[in-house]
Amino acid sequence: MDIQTFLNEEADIYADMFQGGFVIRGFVRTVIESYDGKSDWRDFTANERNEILLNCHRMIGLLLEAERA
Amino acid sequence: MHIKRIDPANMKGWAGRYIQELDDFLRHTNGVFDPHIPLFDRLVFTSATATGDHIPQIGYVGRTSYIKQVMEGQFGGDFASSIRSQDPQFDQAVAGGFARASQGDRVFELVEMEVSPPGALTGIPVSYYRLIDRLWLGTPRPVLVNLTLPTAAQFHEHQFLLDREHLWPN
Repeated sequence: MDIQTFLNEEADIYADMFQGGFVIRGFVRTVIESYDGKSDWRDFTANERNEILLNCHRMIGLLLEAERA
Repeated sequence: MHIKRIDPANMKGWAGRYIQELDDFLRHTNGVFDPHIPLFDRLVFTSATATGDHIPQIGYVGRTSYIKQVMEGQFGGDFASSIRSQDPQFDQAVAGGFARASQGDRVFELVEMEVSPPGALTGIPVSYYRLIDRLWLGTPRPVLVNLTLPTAAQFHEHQFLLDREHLWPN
């Protein structure tokens, strides 16, 4: 899956989850691009992938809480 | 432990310049997250559910954020509870700023304290500037954005400790 397909699919998922899915999409994109401009998932090290997933996982926790409140 | 509200214009050194840069940016946005937000790698996003008793739940942790550097490699899914259990004094000391920021106050502070990392025999003086403000990521309620940076004094203390380590073997 290329990065654009990934981001498109993510955007759809987030749009269902939160009112402002496009904002979350921008956030995820910014997290991914903060790794020295890498954009293909295969270019990331295992640690970097874990870091990205943990960050997204923790943010989704926060945003679900902010959505419910 | 000492926490002082401080005008960002009076924050010194590179840390002060970075805080001023983020402050300028936030002044010119409507509070919604913008992918061009400066210093993204150094930012931490937390929940805006902040009572002042504990550090709120932590979401995004920038790769070069101060908290990541201080507490490198010890955290998984729940960053905040790890900090709470590891250093309750630190947790309580810094919690108040998050509570004020969640009420809509953009917080600028100088924090000076001693922390005792696991295994350390003496406290280590810590001195840093921080900015906390609300940020909206598409949900009805905001999250908090936090930029924390060591002051020049902290940097020099760190250098001194490093230098002293080199002297001990002699």
